[in-house]
Amino acid sequence: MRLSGPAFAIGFTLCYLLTLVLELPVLGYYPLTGDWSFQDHSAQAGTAMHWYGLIFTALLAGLLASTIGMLPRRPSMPVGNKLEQQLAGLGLVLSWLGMIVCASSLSRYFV
Amino acid sequence: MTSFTLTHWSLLLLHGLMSVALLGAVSHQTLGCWQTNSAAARTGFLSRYASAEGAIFANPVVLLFLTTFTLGALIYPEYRLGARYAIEEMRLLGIVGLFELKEHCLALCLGLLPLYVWAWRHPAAQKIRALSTTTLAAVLWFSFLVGHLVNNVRGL
Repeated sequence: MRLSGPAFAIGFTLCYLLTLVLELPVLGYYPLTGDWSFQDHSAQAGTAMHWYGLIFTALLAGLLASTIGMLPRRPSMPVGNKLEQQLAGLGLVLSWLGMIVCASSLSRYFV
Repeated sequence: MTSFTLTHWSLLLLHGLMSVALLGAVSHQTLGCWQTNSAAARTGFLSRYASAEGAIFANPVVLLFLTTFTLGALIYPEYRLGARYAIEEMRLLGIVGLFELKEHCLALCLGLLPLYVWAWRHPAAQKIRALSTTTLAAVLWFSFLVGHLVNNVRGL
Protein backbone atom coordinates (compact mmCIF):
# COMPACT_ATOMS: atom_id res chain seq x y z
CA MET A 1 0.00 0.00 0.00
CA ARG A 2 1.34 3.47 -0.90
CA LEU A 3 1.14 6.35 1.54
CA SER A 4 1.03 10.09 0.95
CA GLY A 5 4.03 11.94 2.41
CA PRO A 6 2.40 15.39 2.38
CA ALA A 7 -0.79 14.08 4.05
CA PHE A 8 1.35 12.33 6.67
CA ALA A 9 3.06 15.62 7.53
CA ILE A 10 -0.27 17.42 7.90
CA GLY A 11 -1.83 14.69 10.08
CA PHE A 12 1.28 14.31 12.23
CA THR A 13 1.77 18.03 12.82
CA LEU A 14 -1.89 18.81 13.54
CA CYS A 15 -2.20 15.91 15.97
CA TYR A 16 1.10 16.76 17.70
CA LEU A 17 0.14 20.40 18.16
CA LEU A 18 -3.46 19.78 19.26
CA THR A 19 -2.37 17.15 21.77
CA LEU A 20 0.35 19.44 23.11
CA VAL A 21 -1.67 22.66 23.29
CA LEU A 22 -4.90 21.09 24.62
CA GLU A 23 -2.90 18.83 26.96
CA LEU A 24 -4.81 15.75 25.81
CA PRO A 25 -3.90 12.53 27.63
CA VAL A 26 -1.17 10.47 25.97
CA LEU A 27 0.84 7.46 26.99
CA GLY A 28 3.29 8.48 29.71
CA TYR A 29 6.62 6.90 30.60
CA TYR A 30 7.85 6.84 34.19
CA PRO A 31 11.65 6.44 33.98
CA LEU A 32 12.14 5.82 37.71
CA THR A 33 9.92 2.73 37.69
CA GLY A 34 10.05 1.94 33.96
CA ASP A 35 6.23 1.92 33.77
CA TRP A 36 4.03 3.09 30.88
CA SER A 37 0.54 4.40 31.58
CA PHE A 38 -2.22 6.63 30.24
CA GLN A 39 -3.05 7.60 33.82
CA ASP A 40 -1.12 10.07 35.95
CA HIS A 41 1.04 8.07 38.38
CA SER A 42 3.54 10.84 39.05
CA ALA A 43 2.63 10.92 42.77
CA GLN A 44 3.83 7.32 43.18
CA ALA A 45 6.21 6.87 40.25
CA GLY A 46 7.92 10.29 40.11
CA THR A 47 8.93 12.08 36.91
CA ALA A 48 6.59 11.48 33.97
CA MET A 49 7.65 11.80 30.32
CA HIS A 50 4.93 12.38 27.74
CA TRP A 51 7.14 13.05 24.71
CA TYR A 52 7.19 9.40 23.61
CA GLY A 53 3.40 9.17 23.88
CA LEU A 54 3.02 12.45 21.99
CA ILE A 55 5.15 11.14 19.12
CA PHE A 56 3.40 7.76 19.11
CA THR A 57 -0.05 9.42 18.91
CA ALA A 58 1.11 11.79 16.16
CA LEU A 59 2.62 8.89 14.19
CA LEU A 60 -0.71 7.07 14.29
CA ALA A 61 -2.52 10.22 13.13
CA GLY A 62 0.07 10.71 10.37
CA LEU A 63 -0.39 7.13 9.13
CA LEU A 64 -4.17 7.55 9.16
CA ALA A 65 -3.96 10.88 7.29
CA SER A 66 -1.55 9.49 4.70
CA THR A 67 -3.84 6.52 4.07
CA ILE A 68 -6.84 8.83 3.65
CA GLY A 69 -4.69 11.11 1.45
CA MET A 70 -4.22 8.28 -1.05
CA LEU A 71 -7.93 7.39 -1.30
CA PRO A 72 -9.10 10.13 -3.75
CA ARG A 73 -6.28 9.26 -6.15
CA ARG A 74 -7.37 7.96 -9.54
CA PRO A 75 -4.97 5.63 -11.41
CA SER A 76 -4.63 8.28 -14.14
CA MET A 77 -3.52 10.93 -11.63
CA PRO A 78 0.23 11.55 -11.80
CA VAL A 79 2.15 11.25 -8.53
CA GLY A 80 3.32 14.70 -7.47
CA ASN A 81 0.33 16.44 -9.08
CA LYS A 82 -0.80 19.98 -8.30
CA LEU A 83 -3.06 18.94 -5.40
CA GLU A 84 -0.28 16.93 -3.81
CA GLN A 85 2.10 19.87 -4.17
CA GLN A 86 -0.42 22.15 -2.46
CA LEU A 87 -0.79 19.60 0.36
CA ALA A 88 3.00 19.48 0.67
CA GLY A 89 3.12 23.28 0.92
CA LEU A 90 0.45 23.19 3.61
CA GLY A 91 2.33 20.49 5.52
CA LEU A 92 5.50 22.54 5.41
CA VAL A 93 3.81 25.75 6.58
CA LEU A 94 2.05 23.82 9.38
CA SER A 95 5.35 22.47 10.65
CA TRP A 96 6.83 26.00 10.69
CA LEU A 97 3.76 27.25 12.58
CA GLY A 98 4.13 24.27 14.92
CA MET A 99 7.67 25.26 15.78
CA ILE A 100 6.55 28.83 16.49
CA VAL A 101 3.69 27.57 18.71
CA CYS A 102 6.10 25.30 20.59
CA ALA A 103 8.56 28.16 21.06
CA SER A 104 5.86 30.49 22.38
CA SER A 105 4.54 27.77 24.73
CA LEU A 106 8.04 27.58 26.22
CA SER A 107 8.40 31.33 26.68
CA ARG A 108 8.24 30.90 30.49
CA TYR A 109 11.80 29.55 30.34
CA PHE A 110 13.17 32.60 28.61
CA VAL A 111 11.71 35.51 30.62
CA MET B 1 32.19 3.26 36.47
CA THR B 2 29.15 0.96 36.13
CA SER B 3 28.26 -0.81 32.90
CA PHE B 4 24.98 1.18 32.92
CA THR B 5 26.87 4.50 32.83
CA LEU B 6 29.27 3.16 30.22
CA THR B 7 26.35 2.11 27.99
CA HIS B 8 24.77 5.56 28.24
CA TRP B 9 28.04 7.33 27.51
CA SER B 10 28.56 5.08 24.49
CA LEU B 11 25.03 5.81 23.26
CA LEU B 12 25.56 9.55 23.78
CA LEU B 13 28.85 9.42 21.88
CA LEU B 14 27.26 7.44 19.05
CA HIS B 15 24.32 9.89 19.02
CA GLY B 16 26.80 12.77 18.64
CA LEU B 17 28.79 11.08 15.89
CA MET B 18 25.68 10.17 13.90
CA SER B 19 24.43 13.74 14.19
CA VAL B 20 27.70 15.03 12.69
CA ALA B 21 27.30 12.71 9.69
CA LEU B 22 23.66 13.78 9.35
CA LEU B 23 24.59 17.47 9.47
CA GLY B 24 27.21 16.96 6.76
CA ALA B 25 24.75 15.25 4.44
CA VAL B 26 21.90 17.69 4.95
CA SER B 27 24.18 20.74 4.65
CA HIS B 28 25.45 19.48 1.27
CA GLN B 29 21.85 19.01 0.14
CA THR B 30 20.66 22.40 1.37
CA LEU B 31 23.41 24.35 -0.35
CA GLY B 32 22.84 22.28 -3.50
CA CYS B 33 19.14 23.20 -3.49
CA TRP B 34 19.86 26.93 -3.52
CA GLN B 35 22.84 26.87 -5.86
CA THR B 36 22.40 28.73 -9.12
CA ASN B 37 23.30 26.88 -12.29
CA SER B 38 25.35 29.56 -13.99
CA ALA B 39 28.96 28.67 -14.85
CA ALA B 40 30.26 31.66 -12.91
CA ALA B 41 28.65 30.34 -9.75
CA ARG B 42 30.36 26.95 -10.09
CA THR B 43 33.75 28.06 -8.83
CA GLY B 44 35.03 28.30 -5.29
CA PHE B 45 34.69 26.13 -2.19
CA LEU B 46 31.00 26.71 -1.44
CA SER B 47 29.81 25.92 -4.96
CA ARG B 48 31.92 22.76 -5.07
CA TYR B 49 30.57 21.81 -1.65
CA ALA B 50 27.03 22.34 -2.96
CA SER B 51 27.59 20.56 -6.27
CA ALA B 52 27.12 17.08 -4.72
CA GLU B 53 24.12 15.23 -6.18
CA GLY B 54 21.40 16.02 -3.60
CA ALA B 55 19.11 13.14 -4.45
CA ILE B 56 21.82 10.64 -3.46
CA PHE B 57 21.73 12.04 0.07
CA ALA B 58 17.97 11.68 0.58
CA ASN B 59 17.88 8.05 1.78
CA PRO B 60 21.03 8.33 3.94
CA VAL B 61 19.59 11.49 5.54
CA VAL B 62 16.39 9.62 6.44
CA LEU B 63 18.35 6.65 7.81
CA LEU B 64 20.73 8.87 9.78
CA PHE B 65 17.86 11.01 11.10
CA LEU B 66 15.92 7.96 12.32
CA THR B 67 19.02 6.39 13.89
CA THR B 68 20.12 9.60 15.61
CA PHE B 69 16.55 10.28 16.74
CA THR B 70 16.19 6.77 18.19
CA LEU B 71 19.53 7.00 19.99
CA GLY B 72 18.49 10.38 21.41
CA ALA B 73 15.16 8.94 22.54
CA LEU B 74 16.98 6.06 24.28
CA ILE B 75 19.21 8.35 26.36
CA TYR B 76 16.51 10.97 26.97
CA PRO B 77 15.35 9.49 30.33
CA GLU B 78 18.91 9.91 31.65
CA TYR B 79 18.70 13.62 30.85
CA ARG B 80 15.31 13.96 32.54
CA LEU B 81 16.40 12.18 35.71
CA GLY B 82 19.87 13.61 36.05
CA ALA B 83 21.07 16.46 33.89
CA ARG B 84 17.83 18.44 33.75
CA TYR B 85 17.42 18.68 37.53
CA ALA B 86 21.05 19.72 37.89
CA ILE B 87 20.60 22.46 35.26
CA GLU B 88 17.41 23.65 36.99
CA GLU B 89 19.27 23.81 40.31
CA MET B 90 21.85 26.02 38.58
CA ARG B 91 18.91 28.27 37.61
CA LEU B 92 19.84 27.97 33.93
CA LEU B 93 16.20 27.74 32.86
CA GLY B 94 16.91 29.13 29.39
CA ILE B 95 18.97 26.04 28.64
CA VAL B 96 16.16 23.75 29.83
CA GLY B 97 13.79 25.69 27.56
CA LEU B 98 16.13 25.40 24.59
CA PHE B 99 16.35 21.64 25.09
CA GLU B 100 12.54 21.39 25.27
CA LEU B 101 12.29 23.40 22.05
CA LYS B 102 14.84 21.09 20.42
CA GLU B 103 12.79 18.00 21.27
CA HIS B 104 9.58 19.54 19.88
CA CYS B 105 11.26 20.77 16.69
CA LEU B 106 12.86 17.37 16.09
CA ALA B 107 9.52 15.62 16.63
CA LEU B 108 7.94 17.97 14.06
CA CYS B 109 10.81 17.17 11.68
CA LEU B 110 10.07 13.48 12.16
CA GLY B 111 6.60 14.23 10.83
CA LEU B 112 8.10 16.22 7.98
CA LEU B 113 10.38 13.38 6.88
CA PRO B 114 7.88 11.60 4.54
CA LEU B 115 7.17 14.98 2.88
CA TYR B 116 10.93 15.50 2.43
CA VAL B 117 11.28 12.05 0.82
CA TRP B 118 8.27 12.77 -1.42
CA ALA B 119 9.81 16.08 -2.51
CA TRP B 120 13.13 14.46 -3.46
CA ARG B 121 11.33 11.80 -5.52
CA HIS B 122 9.31 14.26 -7.60
CA PRO B 123 11.23 16.55 -9.95
CA ALA B 124 8.34 19.03 -10.16
CA ALA B 125 8.42 19.73 -6.41
CA GLN B 126 11.61 21.81 -6.61
CA LYS B 127 10.51 24.60 -4.28
CA ILE B 128 9.04 22.23 -1.67
CA ARG B 129 12.27 20.20 -1.87
CA ALA B 130 14.44 23.24 -1.19
CA LEU B 131 12.22 24.50 1.64
CA SER B 132 11.79 21.14 3.39
CA THR B 133 15.54 20.40 3.16
CA THR B 134 16.38 23.86 4.49
CA THR B 135 13.90 23.43 7.36
CA LEU B 136 15.46 20.08 8.22
CA ALA B 137 18.98 21.57 8.08
CA ALA B 138 18.04 24.57 10.24
CA VAL B 139 16.41 22.38 12.91
CA LEU B 140 19.30 19.90 12.87
CA TRP B 141 21.94 22.63 13.26
CA PHE B 142 19.92 24.24 16.07
CA SER B 143 19.47 20.86 17.79
CA PHE B 144 23.14 20.00 17.43
CA LEU B 145 24.22 23.27 19.03
CA VAL B 146 21.67 23.00 21.85
CA GLY B 147 22.66 19.39 22.54
CA HIS B 148 26.29 20.42 22.62
CA LEU B 149 25.48 23.32 24.97
CA VAL B 150 23.51 21.10 27.37
CA ASN B 151 26.28 18.51 27.35
CA ASN B 152 28.83 21.19 28.17
CA VAL B 153 26.74 22.55 31.05
CA ARG B 154 25.87 19.13 32.47
CA GLY B 155 26.43 15.88 30.57
CA LEU B 156 24.87 12.53 31.44
